[in-house]
Amino acid sequence: MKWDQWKTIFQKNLSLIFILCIFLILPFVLPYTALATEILIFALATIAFDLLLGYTGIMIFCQASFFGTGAYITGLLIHHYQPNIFLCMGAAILGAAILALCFGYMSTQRAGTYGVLLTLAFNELIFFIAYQWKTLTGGSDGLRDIPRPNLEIPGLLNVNLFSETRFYFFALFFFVFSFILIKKITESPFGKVLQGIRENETRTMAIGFNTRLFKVVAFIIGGIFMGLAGNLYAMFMNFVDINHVAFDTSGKIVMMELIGGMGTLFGPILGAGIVTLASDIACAYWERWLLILGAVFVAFVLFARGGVWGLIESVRGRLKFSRPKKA
Amino acid sequence: MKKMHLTRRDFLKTATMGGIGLAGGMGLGPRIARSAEKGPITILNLQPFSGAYADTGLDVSRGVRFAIEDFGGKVLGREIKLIERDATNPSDSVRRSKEVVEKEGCKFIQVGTSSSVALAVAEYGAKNEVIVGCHAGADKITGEACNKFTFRWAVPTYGAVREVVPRLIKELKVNTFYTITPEYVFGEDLLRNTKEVLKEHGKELAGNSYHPLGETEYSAIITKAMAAKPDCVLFLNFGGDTVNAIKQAVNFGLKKVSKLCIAWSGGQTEFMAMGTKILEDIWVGIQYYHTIDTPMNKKVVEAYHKKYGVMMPYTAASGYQQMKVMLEAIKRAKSTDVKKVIAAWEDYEYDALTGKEVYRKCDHQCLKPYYTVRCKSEAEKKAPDDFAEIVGFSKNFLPCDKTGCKM
Amino acid sequence: MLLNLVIVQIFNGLVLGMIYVLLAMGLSIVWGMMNIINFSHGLFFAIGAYLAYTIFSVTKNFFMGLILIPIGTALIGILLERTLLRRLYGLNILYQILMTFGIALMGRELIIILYGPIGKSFVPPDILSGTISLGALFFPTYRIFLLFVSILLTIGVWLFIEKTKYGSIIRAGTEDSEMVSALGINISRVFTLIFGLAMAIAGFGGGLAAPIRGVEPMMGEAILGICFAVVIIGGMGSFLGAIIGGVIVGLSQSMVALIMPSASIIVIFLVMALILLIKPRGLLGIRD
Repeated sequence: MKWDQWKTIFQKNLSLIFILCIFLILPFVLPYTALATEILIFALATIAFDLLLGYTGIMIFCQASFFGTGAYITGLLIHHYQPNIFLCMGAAILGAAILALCFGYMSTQRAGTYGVLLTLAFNELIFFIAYQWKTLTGGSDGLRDIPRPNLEIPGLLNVNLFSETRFYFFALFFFVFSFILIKKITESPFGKVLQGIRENETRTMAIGFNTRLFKVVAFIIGGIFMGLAGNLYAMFMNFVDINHVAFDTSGKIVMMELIGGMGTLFGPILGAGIVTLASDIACAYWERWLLILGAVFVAFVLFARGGVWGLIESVRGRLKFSRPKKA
Repeated sequence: MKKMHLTRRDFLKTATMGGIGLAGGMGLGPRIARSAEKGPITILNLQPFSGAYADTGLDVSRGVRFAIEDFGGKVLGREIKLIERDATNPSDSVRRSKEVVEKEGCKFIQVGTSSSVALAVAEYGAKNEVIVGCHAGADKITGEACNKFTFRWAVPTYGAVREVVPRLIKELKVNTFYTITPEYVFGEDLLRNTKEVLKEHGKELAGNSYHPLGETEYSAIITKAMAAKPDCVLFLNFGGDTVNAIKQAVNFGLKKVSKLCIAWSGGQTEFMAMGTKILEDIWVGIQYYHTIDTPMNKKVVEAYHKKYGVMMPYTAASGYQQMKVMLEAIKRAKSTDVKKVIAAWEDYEYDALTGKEVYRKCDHQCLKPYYTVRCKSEAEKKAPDDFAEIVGFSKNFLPCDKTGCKM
Repeated sequence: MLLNLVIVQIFNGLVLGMIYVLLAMGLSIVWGMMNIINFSHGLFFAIGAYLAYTIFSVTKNFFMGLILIPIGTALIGILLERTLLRRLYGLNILYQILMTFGIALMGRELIIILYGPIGKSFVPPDILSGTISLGALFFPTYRIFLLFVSILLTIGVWLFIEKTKYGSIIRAGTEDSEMVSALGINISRVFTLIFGLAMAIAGFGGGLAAPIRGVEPMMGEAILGICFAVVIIGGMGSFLGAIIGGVIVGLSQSMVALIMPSASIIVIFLVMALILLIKPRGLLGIRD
């Protein structure tokens, strides 16, 4: 029966549909739409990072490099050529992917924390290149005058995206698409290998997998979606700023990941929401709110390493055990 | 590696959701801003309240509040609602602007003091018909990036250099200059103007050294400057860079070789960071100093001193003056309609802290003087905060057709 | 004239390099021994500078500051290590790295709360101010002092690591910390010692560098990026590598500043990338 089929799909993807509903009403619930878009875009970037850290066990600090590269490529293309919006996306993703390939290759050369340090140093390198190459990136002034391109499929569709609400739903489409894609990846055999690498890389190697290849591919996938997030952000903000490639942005994504909950794909969404909302509200009350954020972060590292999602899961788990089994 | 494939079901799911969403978005259109001709008038003050320039943010904020208090907290019979938000980088600033414009229907923004932030917010203001008063110095703001909705009080680099450099040539008989320039749009502007002025006066630029913003290591530059033996070393940087560069220069003994001059200074705050021992005998160019001799300035400085216990710094004066002008323009326009306020604001001469000022129509730049001060020695100081005395001032601006501004 | 400039710049490069060496030593030791990428290392550099400022404001005695600062930063470091980091030993190293990141963030904000967001003015004490001139060359006295003291300290640390019993434990632990533990040595006490030592040196470096680099809240983050590059260039886990890396970076920064000042920082990272391509372990890297 058709209805049963839909019911199963519904049950299997309950969480996804729940999240989707939240995102559909978010712009109308929050005080202003731009806040929702900000959460959305960073949720995407953090989910991409989760694939690397939560699923493959690879820690990186070059999130901003991928994000910022996507943003700068988008900004430059729109600023100079005003091409089709999908062309921009493609170029941004391609640029970020190439960078991810390079960084991934170099930081997976040796086991251990050395690779992590390399990603940090690479991020600094990208930052200083963007800072120095003023004629290209505008340096610390940034790239301005980036009008939002229309949502255009030649011959089919030409929609203006100036309104914040319209742009939000445009971004939401790509967010959902990316989320489903990444989820599929984690559930696929490829994803299982990644998790194997996270659990015990030596054993995974012993089974016969070329773990380095898998890690580099994970880098590339992560880079692609972070680049997409950067692309969306450039169109959202109508400018690209040096902060998009700065370590601060990487740090922000790391905090969102930890506070949200690693390795869950839903955790990062929560993390992005919590960190963005909290900073937005807090900064109106105290300039030093970063201190509180830092303290919260430290508290999570000490006591709640599974993040908020982990806390929710543990509460759910306890409820399940306390509920008497149905006959 | 098995290729994952998206089943038709998943694709249809996503597409439907996306389609509904877009249709919904189109139907709803842009959020209706809650503005009315009644109720409080919202003004957004975007300043750096955290980060490296937090002190300037605080001072501008004090000036802005002071102006609002002066006005009695109301304009056109409506209460003034001041919303202040932290603006340390362009992304956050634009986002905060979106927040307040969308939520409160805000039509008036004051933004300072970083040029990149000001430029980003000015662009946002132009696209969304919001008046933006800038407190930053980049020439572009009333030059090629100018727009109908943006106004700027501070004298751009053109005017700053054309007061300071000729003053040095005339009063100190300087013939050769060595410049120290930060690699920043702003620094380039200062240098370009310096070169032009030197050419006009038939003087020589003995050399120039660039440094990145935020540089802490000036030994190379100072060594080169000393080797060139110029009459005057002109510092074209600002803020913390100037403080570091000057301190190291004095430490290296540069003062024994050349006269030192700072072209663009924040004034009192920087003086306090450097101290009289280092500052003694250095000439400094500033937008404003609390010893300016006009009746209005004397009154406001005294009131400020009473309230905050310090002499009003340039950043506070900037906040005070531009906020006051904005409120007066709203009053004159008898409305908060943005176009009417712009019309009331431009080309209107008024009494200001520096004397008579006017924001000219062609580029919305305020025509006001730029000042040169000489830093006093410990013996000359009459009070702990009496760092300098004004030795000259003048008004210098590009003619309208040369600014690159097309409104 | 050009030769004069070059000589002075080499001197300045060595001074700058020694500051980097002081920091890189601590970073390298902590990484080598405890496998922690210590993001809070820059914070202790800043704390050292702020302590120098505070002690000097209160006592007007700079040298007393130099003695008290390393004790102060060591104590703070040990406190943080015991209360925060220790709880995470045995877990994935990731969490310790994240912890140092959180500490760095909080520490910076605390500094701003205590001292304000603007930098503080700090001039070298009168005995050390002024310049020594050799012909047409000027050498600020304080920089000579800094060079001298940092070289002494580096030699001291090297002697400690090479010649003492504790030093040999450190060296062994850098190679194989499990084995050291198996030999019956209280590894957690060694960790505390290492961390304290590293933070002492970092703080001392901050206080020593304060008169020329200034004192401002972001100073820790600004220098940390460069120090990571130094450690990568010199080779992780190699003490000598930290020294060589620091000197190379300091010299290249100051020599490039002569020709193209804006490129002086980016050159460091380009050099780092180049070295990684040729020698992925860094110049003297040993740890795998």
